Amino acid sequence: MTTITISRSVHAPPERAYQAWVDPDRLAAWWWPHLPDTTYECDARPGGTYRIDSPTAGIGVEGTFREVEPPRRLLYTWLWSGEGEEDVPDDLVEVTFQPDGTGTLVTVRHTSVEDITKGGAQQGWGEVMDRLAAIE
Amino acid sequence: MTELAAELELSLPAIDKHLRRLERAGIVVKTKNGRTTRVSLQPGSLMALAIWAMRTRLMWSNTLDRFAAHLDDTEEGR
Repeated sequence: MTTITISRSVHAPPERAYQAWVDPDRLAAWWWPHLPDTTYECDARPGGTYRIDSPTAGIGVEGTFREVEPPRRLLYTWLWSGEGEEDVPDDLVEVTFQPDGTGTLVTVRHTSVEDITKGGAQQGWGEVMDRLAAIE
Repeated sequence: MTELAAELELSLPAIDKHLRRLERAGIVVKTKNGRTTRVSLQPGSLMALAIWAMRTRLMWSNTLDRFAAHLDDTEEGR
């Protein structure tokens, strides 16, 4: 299990920051504005799902809301499109909106449940096998 | 392994337990030579982890930059 944490101070109160994060129309203004064909669906309720998809870029992300505490905290699963068939466990993303003066401190904690180092080990073994196969 | 245990002030069984996990994950390799066991780091074994962390951090850093800029714009326009 591996987690990265990243924070930003934004110039808006938690209520507005939270709305901009979960409202599909607001989301469209900042998530992937450089990919104009992107579609946004977001139902920020416990058990609700979201899906952001850009067919031309061939990228997308989707997941399910686990915990929803407006306007302070969100916890949802995260899966890049196309990774579903490999039976990989979904990542988890937690976003918190803490009052910070007149603005908000937004913190994202992105956790991979998968044992990433295993991929490295497999790769390592793959290389060993390749070298073995090359010996005649 | 004895040297590692002394250096880290841990018991041999504790060291063995940690090393077995690291070995299973492909991070270290143990080689037995008579009564001594040498532990070596497997080069590149943490690369996948480092790449994931770097990629994910960069993705969120860019995303949060856009989020902050968007809120600046809409906040000014109010």
